[in-house]
Amino acid sequence: MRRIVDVSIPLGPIHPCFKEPARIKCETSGERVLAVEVELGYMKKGIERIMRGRPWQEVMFLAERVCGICSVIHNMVFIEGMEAISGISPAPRAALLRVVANELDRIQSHLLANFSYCYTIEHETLAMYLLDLREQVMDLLERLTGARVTCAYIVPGGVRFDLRDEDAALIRAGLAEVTRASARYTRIFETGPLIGLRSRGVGILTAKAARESHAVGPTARGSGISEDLRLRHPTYQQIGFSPVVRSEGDCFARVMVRFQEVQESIGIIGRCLDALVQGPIRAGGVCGAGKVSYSGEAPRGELSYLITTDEAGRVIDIAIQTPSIMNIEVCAHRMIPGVTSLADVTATFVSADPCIACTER
Amino acid sequence: MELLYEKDLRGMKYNVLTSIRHDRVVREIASICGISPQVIRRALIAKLDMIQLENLPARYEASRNAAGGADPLVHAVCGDLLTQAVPLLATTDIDQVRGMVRDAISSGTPEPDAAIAARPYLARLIQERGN
Repeated sequence: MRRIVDVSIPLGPIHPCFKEPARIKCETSGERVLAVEVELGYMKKGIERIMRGRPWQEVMFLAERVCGICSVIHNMVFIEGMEAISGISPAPRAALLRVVANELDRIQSHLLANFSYCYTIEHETLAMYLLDLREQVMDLLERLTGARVTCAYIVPGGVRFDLRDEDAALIRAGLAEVTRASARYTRIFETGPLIGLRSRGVGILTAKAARESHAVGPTARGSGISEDLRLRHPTYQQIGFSPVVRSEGDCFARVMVRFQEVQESIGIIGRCLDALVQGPIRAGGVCGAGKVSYSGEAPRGELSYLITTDEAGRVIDIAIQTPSIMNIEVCAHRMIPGVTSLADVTATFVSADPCIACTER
Repeated sequence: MELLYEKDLRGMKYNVLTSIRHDRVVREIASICGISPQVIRRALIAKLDMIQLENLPARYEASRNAAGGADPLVHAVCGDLLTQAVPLLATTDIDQVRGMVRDAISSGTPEPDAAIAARPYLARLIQERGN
């Protein structure tokens, strides 16, 4: 700790409930947590430094390696940032296919986050159901992009591969199954008495605290803040959708927001597939010099890239602000202090869907 | 006292603060408060943990978007910035500074000049918190 305290209980860096290493040092009085300090640095990649001086063709592959769980959105935000610098517009068919890939990625990320939460509160049955369902979504992502993670699907002006009609039909059929299963698992979560005891009223984040710490994504929407950057994206505006918001602000609300967003994403994909027009999947254009700050809605919230390039399209400077940075801070300093049991510390931490790989980019 | 299992994080914290976005924010805070960036950096490293430092640009941006709701006198001495967005000082510290400014105003000093006159005291407080 930064100061000497009576009892400091460290959780992590290696902990059965954490997917990635982070150390949370809890100052406690009995089981009540008074304050928390987060220690990072166990998996720092220095990826921003590696990106500098490299051409965009190399940086796009590095960008999606910031995070293995939400790699598509890193690819999408970097490429759309490069397009904004260079005045390139994607082909209409490709713009819709990008949204399909992004929403499939969001579904699998949300299912993994909810799996982690259920596993943390010891509801292993539901956890394993959710992990199994995620595998089915990963298969659909592979069918569209050719890879499960680090797909490198989105390129300036379009996407890498077209979607065949038979694959579109398989994706629709797969999503019908996901809709049915996820509705059932949502019901199990919503009505489970054990889940209610561990989740309702635990790790509360008020809307005021969420605003002050700049909480984003499902963490903010679970506290009643109706912010979603997809509302400002031209393709999402064309397709239309409304963000999922709940007002409880506890662990239950955050997990339920993700469950409801899975259903919303399935709807978006369906509307994109309906709206697919025949045509090219790549538009022309050359990446040039410029500077841009570009943001997109990742599964965990607002993801921003600050990019500066030279006339050859080489990245001179880049800074990545990932949503987990905001959410881990708000979780550690606003949600966890005050929880009445150490078991709730891990549950609250996991409910914010923290991604250490993103944080330690 | 040397504590077992405790690492010296100052090097890593410094690296966080010298990245593009963070450096820009530190310099802006320094210029707003009239203090050198080095002093601000030292206080930040001493007072905040790693995730608060990582989140500095977002918190700063959120505080700028929310500016206007605070007491004008507190805003004049950067109270909202230094207690909420970048929690370097306690509210009691800011109350002390605000009291100094209020005394100066009641003795006839114009408000902007009184706020500027309180800056060296503010700088000293931040410097103390950094030690």
